[in-house]
Amino acid sequence: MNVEVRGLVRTFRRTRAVAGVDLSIGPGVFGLLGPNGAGKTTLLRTLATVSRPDSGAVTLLGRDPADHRQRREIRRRLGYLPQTLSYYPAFTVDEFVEYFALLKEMPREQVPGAVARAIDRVGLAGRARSRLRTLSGGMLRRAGIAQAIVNDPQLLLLDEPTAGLDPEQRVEFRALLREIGTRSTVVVSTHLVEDVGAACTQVALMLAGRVVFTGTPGELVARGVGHGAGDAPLERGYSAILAGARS
Amino acid sequence: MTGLLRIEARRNPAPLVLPLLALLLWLTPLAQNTRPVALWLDRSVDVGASVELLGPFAAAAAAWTASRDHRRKMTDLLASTPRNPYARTLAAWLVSLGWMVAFYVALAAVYLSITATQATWGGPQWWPVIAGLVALIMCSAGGFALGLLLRTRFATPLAAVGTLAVIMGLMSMAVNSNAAIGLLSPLYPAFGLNALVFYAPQPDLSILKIVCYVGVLGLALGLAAWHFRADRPSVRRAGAALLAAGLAVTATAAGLDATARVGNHGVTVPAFHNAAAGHAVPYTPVCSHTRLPVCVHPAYDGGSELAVLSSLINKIAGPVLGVPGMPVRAEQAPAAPSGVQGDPPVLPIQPFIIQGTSLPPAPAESIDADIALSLFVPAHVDPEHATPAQRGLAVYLLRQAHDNPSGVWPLDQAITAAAARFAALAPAARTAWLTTHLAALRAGSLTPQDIP
Repeated sequence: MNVEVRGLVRTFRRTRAVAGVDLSIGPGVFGLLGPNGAGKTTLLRTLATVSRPDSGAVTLLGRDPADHRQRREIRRRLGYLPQTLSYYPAFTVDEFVEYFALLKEMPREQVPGAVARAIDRVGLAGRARSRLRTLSGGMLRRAGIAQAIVNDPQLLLLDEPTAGLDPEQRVEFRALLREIGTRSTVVVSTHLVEDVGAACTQVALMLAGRVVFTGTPGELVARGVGHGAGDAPLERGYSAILAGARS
Repeated sequence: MTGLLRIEARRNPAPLVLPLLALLLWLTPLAQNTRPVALWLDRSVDVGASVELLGPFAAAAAAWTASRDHRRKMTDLLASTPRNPYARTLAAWLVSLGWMVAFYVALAAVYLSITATQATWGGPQWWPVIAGLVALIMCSAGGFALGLLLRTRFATPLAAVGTLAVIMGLMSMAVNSNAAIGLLSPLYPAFGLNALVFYAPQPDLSILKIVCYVGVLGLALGLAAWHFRADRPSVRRAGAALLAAGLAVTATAAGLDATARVGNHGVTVPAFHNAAAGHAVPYTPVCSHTRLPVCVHPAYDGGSELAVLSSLINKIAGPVLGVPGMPVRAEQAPAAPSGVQGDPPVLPIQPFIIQGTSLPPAPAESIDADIALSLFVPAHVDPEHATPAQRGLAVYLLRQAHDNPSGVWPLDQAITAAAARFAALAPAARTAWLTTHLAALRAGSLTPQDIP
């Protein structure tokens, strides 16, 4: 398993954002669903080694992120796209992606090729020389994805990656996720259940800092049969599980 | 690291402020002070003192760079990367600093090149220039640390204003309170400007400043490293080491600063003092061919210094020249103004720089008054201590030279009346009276009423 989480707790003052999460995630695309405030972003930040857990055990890519040497090794193999993409407006797309390739300590000679490849994979090759401040929201999101995948990460963490993408771009992006998922572990936090249905092999549903469901998208659909509200089978499964967990 | 530096260099905002900086410099006295007379030491000190303007800019640019990641909400994304965060931030700062240093070096090159075409004596003095450079780096490092610690856009104006306040505050302490700590201001001249060319430069204070600035630089960089201490032990250790070293060096500099003594030739710091520095440098003066020959140090031979000075002195002293005891020559001397001295008698003139073809009005009045009084006060006595009778005759000389001494010292009725009476005498009577009474006048035994 590339991600092993046991009894993970993360508290912000009086709010328990993650309240004892257990997860085992192997290669493939793993969807993380849940309403706002469920703890998805906090869990992803912890997996991205940005936030340290208050308690619990985390193993990423077979390494302990609490140890600084192992944490560095994890980060070299990590791709992360935060929920709110931040960027340096004066940088061009290729400078931005190259900057992160260098920060990820990629071998110098591999950087130019990897940068070009990542930008091409997100469909921004034609805007590689454009300043980030000139890009639309969707393009910025794709630039963010490019920096996340530039090092061919073994663990890719994406927080709301399809927000701001148009339907055509989302279809292309799901294909990209599936392709990366054949070699790596991709954890995608999203509100959009259709992304989960189209791209994920496994899915977890979080509510109030806890994982209330883990299974395949098919199992999620099955939980919604005859229950819940929603226009699509996945939405009905999602609603049914949340309703059950809240009751 | 080179890859990061390359990207940072391309996108660093510092070059955007450099044209503004150049414009501001053009408006400062630094730019005005590019006409002869060109004294190397004076010009070198000027370059170092440009930190007054460049320092706040360097601090602001560094604070802006340091707070960038937080302002741009990049911290999460950056924290997920393996690169040493201190090294990453340092790269951005180094680029910001590099632009400011390049500007300073260009400024020094231009300013000293202009000086090279004008100076008639000596060569560039590097200590003040180096001290200015280290001060600039220190200001930038201070802004960098502040930007990291405050992490808001307000860090930028705060760094600029804070840096300027510290520089000016220290200078004010040195000038107004004679506080030793004030000597460490980048603006405090490391050399006695009165003795710019007469003595071998004494770099003691410049060296002390460099030591102090290096210490503060270590403290600032240590503080910046300490900011990232949670990420990895090596950064924590580097931060602690830099803080300890910076503290030790700064404390040492503060200790040495307490031993500094301000003298006529500059500031002496025993720990750095070289016996060879401060000794008189031999020279052959350059003299005017006027009724009273006026001689200046060859360093003052550029521009109109000699012509203006000899015209001025001859205009003031003209009516009394030829009287026994009156000077046969006027000569620049590094000491404070005093009365005619030596045999044959020589009028010492305090060095000052004339730029253009005349003196600015305020210093001109003071200099004219000093020259007139020096003719009547005893040797080695400051003209400020002149008696009323001596002042009366000085007023006569100044008035006949169309000067108004009332702006320099208060004139009472007895003094002005004595001056008027003396002016009304026939030239031969004036010369005769002075010939008889000059010794008594200089001795201070005459009153204004004794003047005919």
